[in-house]
Amino acid sequence: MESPENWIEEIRKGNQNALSKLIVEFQDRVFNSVISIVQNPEDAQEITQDVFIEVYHSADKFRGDSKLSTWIYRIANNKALDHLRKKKRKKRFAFITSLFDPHSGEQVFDQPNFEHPGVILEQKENAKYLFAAIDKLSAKQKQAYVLNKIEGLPNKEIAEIMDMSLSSIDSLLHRAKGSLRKELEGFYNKMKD
Amino acid sequence: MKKETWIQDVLESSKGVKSAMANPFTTTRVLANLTEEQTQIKRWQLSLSVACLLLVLFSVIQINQNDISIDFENDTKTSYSVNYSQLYPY
Repeated sequence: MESPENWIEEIRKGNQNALSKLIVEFQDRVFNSVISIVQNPEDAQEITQDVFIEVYHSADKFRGDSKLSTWIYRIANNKALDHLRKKKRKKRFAFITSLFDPHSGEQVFDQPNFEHPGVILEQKENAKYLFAAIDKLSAKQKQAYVLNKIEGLPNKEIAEIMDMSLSSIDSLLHRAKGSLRKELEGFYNKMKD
Repeated sequence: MKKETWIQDVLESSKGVKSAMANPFTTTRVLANLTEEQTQIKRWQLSLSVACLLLVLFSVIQINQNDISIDFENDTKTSYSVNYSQLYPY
């Protein structure tokens, strides 16, 4: 009962003690990847909880074709992207209502100064710009970039998590780097002005 | 600082991101949520069972009422006869 794969077996039987062990093992990795995507600590914490609830309910669906961590990362990333989609929808709705009522058009979700809690002190300033630029990437590019550069996962595992081919991941990462450069150039020019 | 050097430094800052710690109460919260969820499911199941039981009871009462009610006034086809010798055997 000591390897994570065995914990899943126990979770299938409804063993909450095994779920506790799994949470302790994976919570930081889940939280770290989610917070880099949603860029809000409270939302990331909520999503992290939801991920483990989903793990508990979907334990039967884990067939062992991939690593357990890959499967959990996939659930975490899907939840984070769902959250972003909902947030975008709310933002759009807020914009539409602001057209009819000028007093209700406050910007609800804006975190331009997001500080990742895991960034070391001497990189804090640069990382702020990096995450602001990451936030502008498309959902897929953001997901691939965070898994590769922040989580340090190999492209093969990212392909499994995102259910895409290896070449698609290579291309996504290449385009993400290009987009980040463009965004950062924009930030640099604004700073110089 | 030159633009290219700055961009490179910012991109490299991803290496300075260590694993952020999740809330230490995540386990407690997840287990509490699951318990709450299960209580909700049980509550729903109980409500559903009570509703089904009430429906069955209501249907049985209706059926019984239909069985014993005979519309004497409008029923012209059936002839009703009473055997008085059975009612008053003496």
